[in-house]
Amino acid sequence: MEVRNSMRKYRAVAVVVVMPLVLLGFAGASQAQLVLYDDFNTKAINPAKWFGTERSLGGVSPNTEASRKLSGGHLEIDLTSYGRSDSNSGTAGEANEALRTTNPAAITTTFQVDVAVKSISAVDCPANSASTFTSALVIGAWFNDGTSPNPGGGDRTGDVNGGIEKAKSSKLGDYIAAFITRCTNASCTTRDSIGFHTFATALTKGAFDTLRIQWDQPNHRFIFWVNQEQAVLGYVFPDANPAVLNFKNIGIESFASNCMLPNQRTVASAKVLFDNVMVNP
Amino acid sequence: MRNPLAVTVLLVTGLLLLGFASVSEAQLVLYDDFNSKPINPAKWSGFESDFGPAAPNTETARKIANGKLNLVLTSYGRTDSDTGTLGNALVSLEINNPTVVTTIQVDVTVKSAKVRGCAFNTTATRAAARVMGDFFSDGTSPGPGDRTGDIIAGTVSQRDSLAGDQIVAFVARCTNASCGSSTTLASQVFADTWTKGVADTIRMQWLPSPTKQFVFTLNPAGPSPETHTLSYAVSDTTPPVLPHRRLYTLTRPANCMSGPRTSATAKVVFDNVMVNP
Repeated sequence: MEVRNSMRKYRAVAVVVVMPLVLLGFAGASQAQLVLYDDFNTKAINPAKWFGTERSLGGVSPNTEASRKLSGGHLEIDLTSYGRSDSNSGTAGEANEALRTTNPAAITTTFQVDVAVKSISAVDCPANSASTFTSALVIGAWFNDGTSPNPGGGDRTGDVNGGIEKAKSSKLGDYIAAFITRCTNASCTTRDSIGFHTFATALTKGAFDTLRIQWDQPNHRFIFWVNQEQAVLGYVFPDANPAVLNFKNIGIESFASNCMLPNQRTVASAKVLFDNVMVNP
Repeated sequence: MRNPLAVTVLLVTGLLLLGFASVSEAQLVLYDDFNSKPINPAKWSGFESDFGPAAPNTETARKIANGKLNLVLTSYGRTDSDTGTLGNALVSLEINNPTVVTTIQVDVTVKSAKVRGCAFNTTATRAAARVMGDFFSDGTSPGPGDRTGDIIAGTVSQRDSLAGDQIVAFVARCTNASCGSSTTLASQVFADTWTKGVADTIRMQWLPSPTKQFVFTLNPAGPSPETHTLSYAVSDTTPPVLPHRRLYTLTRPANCMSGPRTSATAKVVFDNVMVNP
């Protein structure tokens, strides 16, 4: 799963166009064109549609509780991760728990998911300027800008990711945001923020919001929705090449800040419901 | 008339054995009884291993419930072959400072183990509970981070689609960098086996050079403990590349192209983790 450093470390490297518009007619037409991928009204997660993954950072910054399961007709994912206790700088990195679509290349333009945050917490480290961060995430890798030095060898440099997160930052609070990032190394552990927009819609615990990502390739932009609220983020990269690592994921990602203060171990924890995954035909 | 010397030797030996057994039990200290939530991050770190979309992991859980650690995993096999398996998928909890642990004892309860094998594949599908460690290297690792030569040992309480239900002790040597492949140096199937919902106490003790043994005991405090000793001949003075002491659920679905998709689900409860002081 990918992450943005936006709001934590925002650096626009391309033209960013933010147009918070409410285009009800357009939204209605797009909705009608989507097809159901999974409503999770089954007994078990469908292995033909999904595979689960967890990213952990080892004993110094451990994941502890985690799960992926179907419950009440929803997919429920939870994750708890802790920060390092030997530094007051930065975070240990990204931990995540996710369900990934088995054929992400078929999701070419639109990925929509209903997302409800049941619980979310992020314990801060006052001695660290980096916040503890965790989010429910809908995200995809949509194209490569042609700068990967070795796409056949899996170098993800230049892959462009777009997604929407329902997030908690220990320093900035709760928010829902759309983002575009560009991978800057082979494994995509470093990224530039290309665009970022905070929605007016607030994160309300327990409430489902419909999050939709639409890649509008002809106009070199992404259109993001939270329910009927829309934002448009543009880019100026070539976008004809497929992503080196194509993925379309739903899940949780966390960055627990490092903290050496006594009795102040940082922890990021979230429990999230996902439902009604819709995609382009 | 009996030989007084022989009687004395036998008596002393018996007492020593009794004493030794009770000392071993008494010397273990509680590491975690999971009687408090959440999982203690100072003691444990969680981990999952998967094989991607071709052989997906789906449901999983790592949590404390009713004062015990619960680990759950469901995995599916590949559908493009009737040969072999991709390997072991797992969900684990690992001790954060493993190198000091030479003896580990755990209560293991298999709550559920479901396997759907493949009639067209001679490789079994497995679902299991494992207690395992990576204890030392035989010194043949070719470079940094390469686990080739790491020696792993443990027990597996497994349901095997071909062999049935077993508890097996093993010592194995990693044969590639990730230890995704290994060769068994020694193994022993316990005479006793696991029963769904019933806890077995499993103890594993490493006795390094000059002894060079792993001692496995099933239900050491029970009415009929079963002990097996597995010896090894390789050098054990080099630290392992990736030391760990790990509790985990394991799933290993066989590949199946000509029959229904294989699957394996293991739901396991761990409790009362004891270690050497």
